[in-house]
Amino acid sequence: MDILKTVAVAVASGLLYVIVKQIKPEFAPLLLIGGGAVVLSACVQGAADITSGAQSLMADAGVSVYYVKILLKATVICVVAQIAADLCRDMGAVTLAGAAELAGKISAVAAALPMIKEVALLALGLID
Amino acid sequence: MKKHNIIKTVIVLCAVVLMPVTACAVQENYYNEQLEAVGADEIFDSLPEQAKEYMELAGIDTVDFGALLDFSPEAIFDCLVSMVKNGLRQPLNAFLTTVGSIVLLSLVQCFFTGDARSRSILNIISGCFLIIGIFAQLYTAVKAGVSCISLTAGFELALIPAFAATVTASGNPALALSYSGFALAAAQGVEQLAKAVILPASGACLSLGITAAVSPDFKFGGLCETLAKTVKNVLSFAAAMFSSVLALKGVLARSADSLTAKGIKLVVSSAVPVVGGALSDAYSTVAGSLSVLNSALGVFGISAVFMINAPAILQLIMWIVALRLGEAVARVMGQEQQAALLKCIGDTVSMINVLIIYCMTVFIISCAIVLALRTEN
Repeated sequence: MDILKTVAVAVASGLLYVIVKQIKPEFAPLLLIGGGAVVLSACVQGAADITSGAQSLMADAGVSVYYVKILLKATVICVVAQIAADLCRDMGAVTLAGAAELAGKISAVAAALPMIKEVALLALGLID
Repeated sequence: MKKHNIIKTVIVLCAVVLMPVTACAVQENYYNEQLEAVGADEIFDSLPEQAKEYMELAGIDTVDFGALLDFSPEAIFDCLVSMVKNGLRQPLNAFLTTVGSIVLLSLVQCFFTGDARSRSILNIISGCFLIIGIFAQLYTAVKAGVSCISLTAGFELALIPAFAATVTASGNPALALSYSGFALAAAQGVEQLAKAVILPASGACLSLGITAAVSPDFKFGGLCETLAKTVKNVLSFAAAMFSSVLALKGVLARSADSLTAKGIKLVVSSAVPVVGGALSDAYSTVAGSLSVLNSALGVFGISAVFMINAPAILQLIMWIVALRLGEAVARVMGQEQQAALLKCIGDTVSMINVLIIYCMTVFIISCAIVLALRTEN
């Protein structure tokens, strides 16, 4: 991931957004979405490297890879939901932003449900 | 006449030579006979397998006075080193797992420094992640520690009657009576207390810690710490009370036994003519020989109880150190919630460890008091 190119794309998208917003306000959000997509796609390779590295490190440390995957999946869900909510706020749709955040939280909890169930069973087993 | 006398002399000489009465001192293994009589020869077989291995490593595999007198501190040291080596792997793995988990969680939370709402969800998931990472290994260690309480109680049930029998035979019947009843009641009482009160409390404490990790709004860390401190104080008080009562009863019983022994020796030396004094001394000698057996059995029992409990105690101590170090790492990385969870688990493991030490110490102290208070005949 070339950080300079990514940052340059992000800044350029922001500048274009400001200019287009004054000329054609209805097309400005498309620039936001497009610029964000380009920046995020540049991050995918780096994120994949981090994920595989984290999994191998955790496997060496004795942590189950299954739970590491759940944790990383929940993280990605929260990041995506956060970006979506910020986009909606930039477009002035605060209600949609809240809904996106809620959807992200529910998806993250749903992804982590096996882990939460196991912890609940542990706690019940200790009491018994 | 002369011929008659010669014939009589020859006949007497023949009778003396041909009809001897053989008399010699028969060597009997009196120590082993008494050991079998009180049922102490099978005491070693009643130990758990792991304790037997450590006893053999330390050179204490029989209730033999000579062997017990000869065992060296080096053997005990080798035993302790072996216990530490065997028990180090799990806590070390858990520490590495904890550090790895905390580093990963810190990394994940870096993405949400300004977003408190996403962080709250991730805190819950992070807590669950850490619990699952270390709990499976901790559970086996705690279960092994808890099983030592039952094993110790079972061994005490086998040892106490044999020990009391040797105390009685060595001329301390009142001491044996007060000790055996008290020690048996204590052994059963401690086991029931552990199973019915302390262990469920530990389980509840761990559950509260887990709940606090999942729901940070519930601050249960202080409750766990308070519960652990209360249990430690109660057990310390109970141990002191038990030792004091046993010592006081032992002192009274010793006075009675001393009077009884002196009375017996006086009666024997006065009532039996000619050999009364020798019989009185013989009584002291026999009581003294049984006292040797009694001491050997007491020391063997103390060593055996130590070998049953020491591996679990050492491993739980290593677990506590690993959890405290993990807590320190979590605080350094800014993971306060995970640090609180690790502290709660550490406090609970510490409470269970104190219980195991208490069970072991009660028996050792009671045995030592009896050995110290025996009447010297």
